[in-house]
Amino acid sequence: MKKVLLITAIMVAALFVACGKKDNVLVVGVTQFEPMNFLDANGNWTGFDTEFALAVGERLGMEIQFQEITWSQKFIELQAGTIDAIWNGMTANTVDSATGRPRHEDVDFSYSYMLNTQCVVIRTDRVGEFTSAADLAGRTAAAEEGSAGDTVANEVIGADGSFIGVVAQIDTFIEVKSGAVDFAVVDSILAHQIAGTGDFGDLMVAELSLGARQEVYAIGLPIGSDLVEQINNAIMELYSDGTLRRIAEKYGLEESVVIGTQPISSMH
Amino acid sequence: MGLWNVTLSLWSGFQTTLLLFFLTLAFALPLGLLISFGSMSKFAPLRYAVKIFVWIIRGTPLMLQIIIIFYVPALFFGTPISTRFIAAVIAFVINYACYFSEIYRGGIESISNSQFEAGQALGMTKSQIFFRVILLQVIKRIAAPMSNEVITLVKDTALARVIAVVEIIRVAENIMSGGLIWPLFYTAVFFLLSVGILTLMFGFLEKKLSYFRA
Repeated sequence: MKKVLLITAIMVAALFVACGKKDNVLVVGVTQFEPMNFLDANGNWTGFDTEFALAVGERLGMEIQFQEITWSQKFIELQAGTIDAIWNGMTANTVDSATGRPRHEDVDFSYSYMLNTQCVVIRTDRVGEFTSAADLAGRTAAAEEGSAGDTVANEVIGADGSFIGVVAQIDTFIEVKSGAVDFAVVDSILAHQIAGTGDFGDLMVAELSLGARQEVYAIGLPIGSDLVEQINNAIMELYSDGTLRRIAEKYGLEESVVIGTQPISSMH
Repeated sequence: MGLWNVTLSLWSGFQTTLLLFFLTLAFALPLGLLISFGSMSKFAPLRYAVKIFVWIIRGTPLMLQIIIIFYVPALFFGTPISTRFIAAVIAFVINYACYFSEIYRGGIESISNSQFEAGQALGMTKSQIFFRVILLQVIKRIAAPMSNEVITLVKDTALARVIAVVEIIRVAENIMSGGLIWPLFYTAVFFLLSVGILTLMFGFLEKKLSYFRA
Protein backbone atom coordinates (compact mmCIF):
# COMPACT_ATOMS: atom_id res chain seq x y z
CA MET A 1 0.00 0.00 0.00
CA LYS A 2 2.81 2.40 0.88
CA LYS A 3 4.51 1.50 -2.37
CA VAL A 4 1.35 2.19 -4.34
CA LEU A 5 1.04 5.52 -2.56
CA LEU A 6 4.63 6.49 -3.27
CA ILE A 7 4.57 5.45 -6.91
CA THR A 8 1.32 7.29 -7.50
CA ALA A 9 2.62 10.41 -5.76
CA ILE A 10 5.75 10.41 -7.92
CA MET A 11 3.78 9.92 -11.11
CA VAL A 12 1.30 12.67 -10.25
CA ALA A 13 4.15 15.03 -9.32
CA ALA A 14 5.84 14.26 -12.63
CA LEU A 15 2.71 15.37 -14.45
CA PHE A 16 2.79 18.83 -12.94
CA VAL A 17 6.40 19.61 -13.76
CA ALA A 18 6.05 22.56 -16.07
CA CYS A 19 8.71 24.13 -18.18
CA GLY A 20 8.86 27.92 -18.18
CA LYS A 21 7.82 29.83 -21.27
CA LYS A 22 10.65 31.19 -23.34
CA ASP A 23 11.12 34.92 -23.77
CA ASN A 24 11.13 36.41 -27.20
CA VAL A 25 8.59 33.92 -28.47
CA LEU A 26 5.24 35.10 -29.77
CA VAL A 27 2.64 32.34 -29.57
CA VAL A 28 0.05 33.06 -32.24
CA GLY A 29 -3.39 31.49 -31.80
CA VAL A 30 -4.83 30.20 -35.08
CA THR A 31 -7.52 27.95 -36.48
CA GLN A 32 -7.53 26.24 -39.87
CA PHE A 33 -8.86 28.98 -42.11
CA GLU A 34 -7.92 28.96 -45.77
CA PRO A 35 -6.34 31.11 -47.12
CA MET A 36 -5.21 32.75 -43.87
CA ASN A 37 -3.74 29.87 -41.85
CA PHE A 38 -3.73 26.26 -43.01
CA LEU A 39 -1.46 23.23 -43.08
CA ASP A 40 0.36 22.37 -46.29
CA ALA A 41 0.93 18.81 -47.56
CA ASN A 42 3.92 18.42 -45.21
CA GLY A 43 1.94 19.51 -42.15
CA ASN A 44 3.57 22.96 -41.93
CA TRP A 45 1.54 26.10 -41.32
CA THR A 46 1.13 28.28 -44.38
CA GLY A 47 -1.27 30.95 -45.65
CA PHE A 48 -1.40 34.73 -45.73
CA ASP A 49 -1.57 35.35 -41.97
CA THR A 50 1.08 32.70 -41.37
CA GLU A 51 3.60 34.39 -43.68
CA PHE A 52 2.53 37.82 -42.44
CA ALA A 53 3.15 36.79 -38.81
CA LEU A 54 6.54 35.30 -39.67
CA ALA A 55 7.53 38.51 -41.50
CA VAL A 56 6.51 40.65 -38.51
CA GLY A 57 8.35 38.27 -36.17
CA GLU A 58 11.47 38.71 -38.24
CA ARG A 59 11.19 42.52 -37.98
CA LEU A 60 10.71 42.37 -34.21
CA GLY A 61 13.38 39.73 -33.71
CA MET A 62 10.82 37.37 -32.20
CA GLU A 63 10.29 33.69 -32.86
CA ILE A 64 6.72 32.96 -34.00
CA GLN A 65 5.00 29.80 -32.79
CA PHE A 66 1.59 28.82 -34.14
CA GLN A 67 -0.83 27.29 -31.68
CA GLU A 68 -4.07 25.81 -32.89
CA ILE A 69 -7.01 26.91 -30.75
CA THR A 70 -10.79 26.55 -30.64
CA TRP A 71 -12.16 29.83 -31.99
CA SER A 72 -14.92 30.32 -29.42
CA GLN A 73 -12.24 30.20 -26.68
CA LYS A 74 -9.92 32.76 -28.27
CA PHE A 75 -10.32 35.44 -25.57
CA ILE A 76 -9.92 32.93 -22.73
CA GLU A 77 -6.72 31.70 -24.39
CA LEU A 78 -5.39 35.24 -24.62
CA GLN A 79 -6.33 36.11 -21.03
CA ALA A 80 -4.83 32.88 -19.76
CA GLY A 81 -1.59 33.67 -21.58
CA THR A 82 -1.67 30.33 -23.39
CA ILE A 83 -1.40 32.41 -26.56
CA ASP A 84 0.05 35.92 -27.02
CA ALA A 85 -1.93 37.04 -30.06
CA ILE A 86 -5.06 36.16 -32.02
CA TRP A 87 -3.94 36.45 -35.63
CA ASN A 88 -6.27 34.43 -37.78
CA GLY A 89 -8.32 36.65 -40.05
CA MET A 90 -10.19 38.08 -37.07
CA THR A 91 -12.85 40.62 -37.91
CA ALA A 92 -12.12 43.56 -35.62
CA ASN A 93 -15.12 45.84 -35.98
CA THR A 94 -17.83 43.46 -34.84
CA VAL A 95 -19.69 42.40 -31.75
CA ASP A 96 -18.47 39.01 -30.59
CA SER A 97 -21.55 36.85 -30.20
CA ALA A 98 -19.86 34.73 -27.52
CA THR A 99 -19.29 37.70 -25.22
CA GLY A 100 -22.02 40.02 -26.50
CA ARG A 101 -19.51 42.89 -26.53
CA PRO A 102 -17.61 44.65 -29.29
CA ARG A 103 -14.35 42.75 -29.70
CA HIS A 104 -12.22 45.83 -29.07
CA GLU A 105 -13.36 45.72 -25.44
CA ASP A 106 -11.66 42.36 -24.95
CA VAL A 107 -8.47 42.85 -26.95
CA ASP A 108 -6.27 45.68 -28.17
CA PHE A 109 -6.18 45.64 -31.96
CA SER A 110 -3.30 46.34 -34.29
CA TYR A 111 -3.87 48.40 -37.43
CA SER A 112 -6.37 46.62 -39.62
CA TYR A 113 -4.79 44.96 -42.65
CA MET A 114 -7.51 43.38 -44.76
CA LEU A 115 -11.06 44.05 -45.94
CA ASN A 116 -13.72 41.43 -45.54
CA THR A 117 -17.49 41.08 -45.69
CA GLN A 118 -19.88 38.39 -44.58
CA CYS A 119 -21.47 36.43 -47.39
CA VAL A 120 -24.11 33.76 -47.82
CA VAL A 121 -23.20 30.24 -48.94
CA ILE A 122 -25.93 28.04 -50.43
CA ARG A 123 -26.26 24.82 -52.37
CA THR A 124 -26.00 25.49 -56.08
CA ASP A 125 -29.18 23.51 -56.84
CA ARG A 126 -31.18 25.86 -54.60
CA VAL A 127 -29.97 29.12 -56.12
CA GLY A 128 -33.48 29.87 -57.39
CA GLU A 129 -34.82 30.13 -53.85
CA PHE A 130 -32.51 32.96 -52.95
CA THR A 131 -32.98 35.96 -55.20
CA SER A 132 -32.88 38.73 -52.61
CA ALA A 133 -31.80 39.20 -49.03
CA ALA A 134 -35.47 39.09 -48.00
CA ASP A 135 -35.52 35.38 -48.94
CA LEU A 136 -33.22 34.68 -45.99
CA ALA A 137 -35.76 35.71 -43.35
CA GLY A 138 -37.37 32.87 -41.44
CA ARG A 139 -34.86 30.30 -42.70
CA THR A 140 -32.44 28.05 -40.85
CA ALA A 141 -28.90 29.42 -40.95
CA ALA A 142 -25.52 28.18 -39.72
CA ALA A 143 -22.44 30.14 -38.73
CA GLU A 144 -19.43 29.66 -36.53
CA GLU A 145 -20.32 30.25 -32.90
CA GLY A 146 -18.92 33.58 -31.76
CA SER A 147 -17.96 34.70 -35.26
CA ALA A 148 -18.93 37.83 -37.17
CA GLY A 149 -21.10 35.54 -39.33
CA ASP A 150 -23.02 34.49 -36.22
CA THR A 151 -24.04 38.11 -35.61
CA VAL A 152 -25.02 38.74 -39.26
CA ALA A 153 -26.90 35.42 -39.61
CA ASN A 154 -29.04 36.19 -36.59
CA GLU A 155 -29.87 39.60 -38.07
CA VAL A 156 -30.95 38.30 -41.49
CA ILE A 157 -33.05 35.32 -40.36
CA GLY A 158 -35.13 37.52 -38.07
CA ALA A 159 -37.31 36.35 -35.21
CA ASP A 160 -38.89 33.46 -37.16
CA GLY A 161 -35.63 31.91 -38.31
CA SER A 162 -33.54 29.39 -36.47
CA PHE A 163 -29.82 29.53 -35.98
CA ILE A 164 -27.29 26.71 -35.72
CA GLY A 165 -23.94 27.67 -34.17
CA VAL A 166 -21.09 25.34 -35.09
CA VAL A 167 -17.52 25.06 -33.86
CA ALA A 168 -15.65 26.02 -37.03
CA GLN A 169 -16.53 27.99 -40.17
CA ILE A 170 -15.84 24.91 -42.27
CA ASP A 171 -18.55 22.97 -40.39
CA THR A 172 -21.16 25.34 -41.84
CA PHE A 173 -20.29 24.00 -45.30
CA ILE A 174 -21.26 20.46 -44.23
CA GLU A 175 -24.47 21.82 -42.72
CA VAL A 176 -25.37 23.44 -46.05
CA LYS A 177 -24.22 20.52 -48.21
CA SER A 178 -26.25 18.01 -46.17
CA GLY A 179 -29.34 20.23 -46.30
CA ALA A 180 -29.46 20.50 -42.49
CA VAL A 181 -29.58 24.29 -42.88
CA ASP A 182 -30.71 26.52 -45.74
CA PHE A 183 -27.63 28.69 -45.85
CA ALA A 184 -24.46 29.65 -44.00
CA VAL A 185 -22.94 33.04 -43.25
CA VAL A 186 -19.14 33.03 -43.40
CA ASP A 187 -16.23 35.34 -44.21
CA SER A 188 -16.12 36.09 -47.93
CA ILE A 189 -12.35 35.55 -47.86
CA LEU A 190 -12.96 31.92 -46.85
CA ALA A 191 -16.12 31.36 -48.88
CA HIS A 192 -14.56 32.34 -52.20
CA GLN A 193 -11.63 30.02 -51.53
CA ILE A 194 -13.60 26.92 -50.48
CA ALA A 195 -17.11 27.02 -51.97
CA GLY A 196 -17.07 25.24 -55.32
CA THR A 197 -13.91 23.21 -54.66
CA GLY A 198 -13.31 19.61 -53.59
CA ASP A 199 -16.20 18.00 -51.76
CA PHE A 200 -17.77 21.44 -51.53
CA GLY A 201 -18.06 21.68 -55.32
CA ASP A 202 -21.85 21.80 -55.12
CA LEU A 203 -21.82 24.95 -52.96
CA MET A 204 -21.66 28.56 -54.08
CA VAL A 205 -21.55 32.09 -52.76
CA ALA A 206 -24.99 33.66 -53.25
CA GLU A 207 -25.01 37.00 -55.04
CA LEU A 208 -27.02 38.73 -52.35
CA SER A 209 -26.53 42.16 -50.92
CA LEU A 210 -26.68 41.65 -47.16
CA GLY A 211 -26.23 45.31 -46.46
CA ALA A 212 -23.43 44.03 -44.24
CA ARG A 213 -20.94 46.75 -43.53
CA GLN A 214 -17.32 46.66 -44.49
CA GLU A 215 -15.35 44.55 -42.06
CA VAL A 216 -11.65 44.66 -41.39
CA TYR A 217 -9.22 42.05 -40.09
CA ALA A 218 -6.77 43.00 -37.37
CA ILE A 219 -4.46 41.29 -34.90
CA GLY A 220 -5.84 40.89 -31.38
CA LEU A 221 -3.39 41.45 -28.51
CA PRO A 222 -3.86 41.52 -24.73
CA ILE A 223 -5.32 44.78 -23.39
CA GLY A 224 -2.50 47.22 -22.62
CA SER A 225 0.12 45.18 -24.50
CA ASP A 226 3.18 47.19 -25.51
CA LEU A 227 3.45 44.94 -28.56
CA VAL A 228 0.65 46.84 -30.31
CA GLU A 229 2.89 49.75 -31.25
CA GLN A 230 5.82 47.54 -32.26
CA ILE A 231 3.58 45.37 -34.44
CA ASN A 232 1.92 48.44 -35.99
CA ASN A 233 5.34 49.83 -36.94
CA ALA A 234 6.30 46.50 -38.45
CA ILE A 235 3.04 46.37 -40.43
CA MET A 236 3.71 49.83 -41.90
CA GLU A 237 7.24 48.82 -42.88
CA LEU A 238 6.10 45.59 -44.51
CA TYR A 239 3.40 47.52 -46.36
CA SER A 240 5.70 50.24 -47.65
CA ASP A 241 8.45 47.89 -48.81
CA GLY A 242 5.93 45.72 -50.72
CA THR A 243 6.40 42.56 -48.66
CA LEU A 244 2.76 42.46 -47.65
CA ARG A 245 1.61 42.79 -51.24
CA ARG A 246 3.93 40.01 -52.38
CA ILE A 247 2.50 37.67 -49.74
CA ALA A 248 -1.06 38.68 -50.68
CA GLU A 249 -0.45 37.92 -54.35
CA LYS A 250 0.52 34.34 -53.49
CA TYR A 251 -2.97 33.78 -52.11
CA GLY A 252 -4.92 35.98 -54.54
CA LEU A 253 -5.71 38.53 -51.83
CA GLU A 254 -3.95 41.62 -53.22
CA GLU A 255 -7.29 43.42 -53.73
CA SER A 256 -8.18 42.95 -50.07
CA VAL A 257 -5.02 44.22 -48.40
CA VAL A 258 -5.75 47.71 -47.09
CA ILE A 259 -4.06 49.13 -44.01
CA GLY A 260 -6.39 51.03 -41.67
CA THR A 261 -4.85 53.11 -38.89
CA GLN A 262 -7.99 54.56 -37.30
CA PRO A 263 -9.04 53.04 -33.96
CA ILE A 264 -11.38 50.03 -34.31
CA SER A 265 -13.77 51.52 -31.75
CA SER A 266 -14.56 54.33 -34.22
CA MET A 267 -15.52 51.87 -36.98
CA HIS A 268 -18.72 50.39 -35.54
CA MET B 1 -5.06 13.71 -51.06
CA GLY B 2 -5.22 9.97 -51.68
CA LEU B 3 -6.09 7.18 -49.29
CA TRP B 4 -2.47 6.57 -48.37
CA ASN B 5 -1.67 10.20 -47.52
CA VAL B 6 -4.88 10.58 -45.56
CA THR B 7 -4.06 7.40 -43.63
CA LEU B 8 -0.60 8.75 -42.83
CA SER B 9 -1.99 12.10 -41.63
CA LEU B 10 -4.64 10.40 -39.51
CA TRP B 11 -2.05 8.01 -38.13
CA SER B 12 0.02 10.97 -36.89
CA GLY B 13 -3.05 12.18 -35.00
CA PHE B 14 -3.82 8.68 -33.79
CA GLN B 15 -0.39 8.48 -32.18
CA THR B 16 -1.46 11.36 -29.95
CA THR B 17 -4.70 9.49 -29.25
CA LEU B 18 -2.79 6.35 -28.29
CA LEU B 19 -0.30 8.24 -26.12
CA LEU B 20 -3.16 9.88 -24.24
CA PHE B 21 -4.81 6.47 -23.86
CA PHE B 22 -1.73 4.67 -22.50
CA LEU B 23 -0.64 7.52 -20.19
CA THR B 24 -4.15 7.72 -18.75
CA LEU B 25 -4.15 3.98 -18.04
CA ALA B 26 -0.62 4.03 -16.60
CA PHE B 27 -1.52 6.73 -14.05
CA ALA B 28 -5.23 6.12 -13.45
CA LEU B 29 -4.99 2.38 -12.72
CA PRO B 30 -2.81 2.83 -9.57
CA LEU B 31 -4.42 6.15 -8.60
CA GLY B 32 -7.84 4.50 -8.77
CA LEU B 33 -6.68 1.81 -6.34
CA LEU B 34 -5.53 4.51 -3.94
CA ILE B 35 -8.87 6.29 -4.20
CA SER B 36 -10.75 3.03 -3.59
CA PHE B 37 -8.74 2.50 -0.38
CA GLY B 38 -9.73 6.03 0.65
CA SER B 39 -13.41 5.35 -0.01
CA MET B 40 -13.23 2.19 2.16
CA SER B 41 -11.19 3.81 4.93
CA LYS B 42 -12.30 3.31 8.54
CA PHE B 43 -11.29 6.95 9.15
CA ALA B 44 -14.61 8.68 8.46
CA PRO B 45 -13.36 12.19 7.43
CA LEU B 46 -11.09 10.66 4.79
CA ARG B 47 -13.85 8.35 3.59
CA TYR B 48 -16.31 11.21 3.19
CA ALA B 49 -13.74 13.53 1.58
CA VAL B 50 -12.93 10.84 -1.01
CA LYS B 51 -16.58 10.07 -1.64
CA ILE B 52 -17.34 13.78 -2.21
CA PHE B 53 -14.38 14.02 -4.59
CA VAL B 54 -15.60 10.99 -6.56
CA TRP B 55 -19.08 12.51 -6.65
CA ILE B 56 -17.72 15.79 -8.08
CA ILE B 57 -15.63 14.06 -10.75
CA ARG B 58 -18.33 11.58 -11.76
CA GLY B 59 -20.96 14.29 -11.53
CA THR B 60 -19.48 16.73 -14.04
CA PRO B 61 -18.73 16.28 -17.74
CA LEU B 62 -15.21 15.21 -18.63
CA MET B 63 -15.17 17.89 -21.32
CA LEU B 64 -15.74 20.56 -18.67
CA GLN B 65 -13.01 19.07 -16.48
CA ILE B 66 -10.55 19.28 -19.38
CA ILE B 67 -11.40 22.95 -19.95
CA ILE B 68 -11.12 23.76 -16.23
CA ILE B 69 -7.79 21.99 -15.77
CA PHE B 70 -6.24 23.72 -18.76
CA TYR B 71 -7.56 27.27 -18.31
CA VAL B 72 -8.07 27.76 -14.55
CA PRO B 73 -4.40 27.58 -13.42
CA ALA B 74 -3.48 30.10 -16.11
CA LEU B 75 -6.47 32.42 -15.65
CA PHE B 76 -6.53 32.65 -11.87
CA PHE B 77 -3.04 31.73 -10.75
CA GLY B 78 -0.90 32.88 -13.66
CA THR B 79 0.80 29.48 -13.99
CA PRO B 80 -0.24 27.84 -17.24
CA ILE B 81 0.21 24.07 -17.49
CA SER B 82 3.18 23.51 -19.76
CA THR B 83 1.30 21.86 -22.62
CA ARG B 84 -2.27 21.20 -23.66
CA PHE B 85 -1.51 17.53 -23.92
CA ILE B 86 -0.38 17.34 -20.28
CA ALA B 87 -3.53 19.18 -19.19
CA ALA B 88 -5.61 16.61 -21.07
CA VAL B 89 -3.67 13.74 -19.47
CA ILE B 90 -4.26 15.18 -15.97
CA ALA B 91 -7.99 15.55 -16.61
CA PHE B 92 -8.32 12.03 -18.03
CA VAL B 93 -6.27 10.47 -15.20
CA ILE B 94 -8.37 12.09 -12.45
CA ASN B 95 -11.64 11.27 -14.20
CA TYR B 96 -10.83 7.66 -14.99
CA ALA B 97 -9.19 7.01 -11.59
CA CYS B 98 -12.52 7.88 -9.95
CA TYR B 99 -14.46 5.46 -12.15
CA PHE B 100 -11.81 2.75 -11.66
CA SER B 101 -11.90 3.28 -7.88
CA GLU B 102 -15.56 2.30 -7.70
CA ILE B 103 -14.92 -0.81 -9.78
CA TYR B 104 -12.02 -1.74 -7.49
CA ARG B 105 -14.17 -1.12 -4.41
CA GLY B 106 -16.91 -3.39 -5.75
CA GLY B 107 -14.33 -6.08 -6.49
CA ILE B 108 -12.57 -5.85 -3.13
CA GLU B 109 -15.78 -5.83 -1.12
CA SER B 110 -17.03 -8.90 -3.01
CA ILE B 111 -14.22 -11.02 -1.53
CA SER B 112 -15.55 -12.80 1.53
CA ASN B 113 -14.39 -11.50 4.88
CA SER B 114 -13.33 -14.99 5.97
CA GLN B 115 -10.31 -14.73 3.65
CA PHE B 116 -9.08 -11.63 5.51
CA GLU B 117 -9.66 -13.45 8.82
CA ALA B 118 -7.84 -16.56 7.62
CA GLY B 119 -4.89 -14.43 6.56
CA GLN B 120 -4.79 -12.73 9.94
CA ALA B 121 -4.96 -16.08 11.71
CA LEU B 122 -1.85 -17.10 9.72
CA GLY B 123 -0.07 -13.99 10.95
CA MET B 124 0.03 -12.18 7.60
CA THR B 125 0.12 -8.38 7.56
CA LYS B 126 -2.69 -6.37 5.98
CA SER B 127 -0.67 -5.61 2.84
CA GLN B 128 0.47 -9.24 2.53
CA ILE B 129 -3.16 -10.33 2.64
CA PHE B 130 -4.12 -7.76 0.03
CA PHE B 131 -1.34 -8.35 -2.49
CA ARG B 132 -0.92 -12.14 -2.07
CA VAL B 133 -4.47 -13.30 -1.44
CA ILE B 134 -7.04 -10.74 -2.50
CA LEU B 135 -5.65 -8.82 -5.49
CA LEU B 136 -5.61 -11.53 -8.18
CA GLN B 137 -9.14 -12.62 -7.30
CA VAL B 138 -10.24 -8.99 -7.54
CA ILE B 139 -8.59 -8.62 -10.94
CA LYS B 140 -10.51 -11.60 -12.24
CA ARG B 141 -13.83 -10.30 -10.93
CA ILE B 142 -13.38 -6.76 -12.26
CA ALA B 143 -11.98 -7.71 -15.68
CA ALA B 144 -15.34 -7.37 -17.44
CA PRO B 145 -16.37 -3.96 -16.03
CA MET B 146 -12.80 -2.68 -16.49
CA SER B 147 -12.86 -3.68 -20.16
CA ASN B 148 -15.93 -1.47 -20.53
CA GLU B 149 -14.13 1.54 -19.07
CA VAL B 150 -10.94 0.94 -21.04
CA ILE B 151 -12.87 0.71 -24.30
CA THR B 152 -14.77 3.89 -23.44
CA LEU B 153 -11.44 5.60 -22.78
CA VAL B 154 -10.23 4.91 -26.32
CA LYS B 155 -13.14 6.90 -27.68
CA ASP B 156 -13.24 9.57 -24.94
CA THR B 157 -9.77 10.71 -26.03
CA ALA B 158 -11.57 12.60 -28.80
CA LEU B 159 -12.75 15.07 -26.14
CA ALA B 160 -9.19 16.39 -25.78
CA ARG B 161 -9.65 18.43 -28.95
CA VAL B 162 -11.78 20.89 -26.95
CA ILE B 163 -8.48 22.43 -25.79
CA ALA B 164 -6.98 21.96 -29.25
CA VAL B 165 -5.04 18.76 -28.62
CA VAL B 166 -4.56 17.55 -32.17
CA GLU B 167 -5.82 13.97 -31.90
CA ILE B 168 -7.17 11.95 -34.80
CA ILE B 169 -10.59 13.60 -35.10
CA ARG B 170 -9.04 17.07 -34.99
CA VAL B 171 -6.71 16.02 -37.81
CA ALA B 172 -9.71 14.82 -39.82
CA GLU B 173 -11.50 18.11 -39.19
CA ASN B 174 -8.44 19.97 -40.38
CA ILE B 175 -8.37 17.92 -43.57
CA MET B 176 -12.03 18.85 -43.99
CA SER B 177 -11.06 22.53 -43.90
CA GLY B 178 -9.27 21.84 -47.17
CA GLY B 179 -12.47 20.48 -48.74
CA LEU B 180 -12.26 16.71 -48.12
CA ILE B 181 -15.01 15.18 -45.98
CA TRP B 182 -14.55 11.38 -46.01
CA PRO B 183 -11.42 11.23 -43.78
CA LEU B 184 -13.65 12.21 -40.82
CA PHE B 185 -15.73 9.05 -41.30
CA TYR B 186 -12.63 6.99 -42.03
CA THR B 187 -11.31 7.69 -38.48
CA ALA B 188 -13.85 5.09 -37.31
CA VAL B 189 -11.58 2.38 -38.74
CA PHE B 190 -8.77 3.37 -36.36
CA PHE B 191 -11.07 3.23 -33.34
CA LEU B 192 -12.66 -0.05 -34.40
CA LEU B 193 -9.29 -1.74 -34.86
CA SER B 194 -8.04 -0.53 -31.48
CA VAL B 195 -11.16 -1.63 -29.64
CA GLY B 196 -11.03 -4.97 -31.50
CA ILE B 197 -7.49 -5.58 -30.25
CA LEU B 198 -8.45 -4.56 -26.70
CA THR B 199 -11.47 -6.89 -26.76
CA LEU B 200 -9.27 -9.81 -27.77
CA MET B 201 -6.74 -8.92 -25.05
CA PHE B 202 -9.39 -8.78 -22.33
CA GLY B 203 -10.85 -12.10 -23.54
CA PHE B 204 -7.37 -13.62 -23.28
CA LEU B 205 -6.89 -12.15 -19.79
CA GLU B 206 -10.19 -13.54 -18.55
CA LYS B 207 -9.28 -16.98 -19.88
CA LYS B 208 -5.90 -16.84 -18.15
CA LEU B 209 -7.56 -15.95 -14.85
CA SER B 210 -10.33 -18.54 -15.14
CA TYR B 211 -8.47 -21.09 -12.96
CA PHE B 212 -9.59 -19.01 -9.97
CA ARG B 213 -13.09 -20.34 -10.44
CA ALA B 214 -13.65 -22.55 -7.43
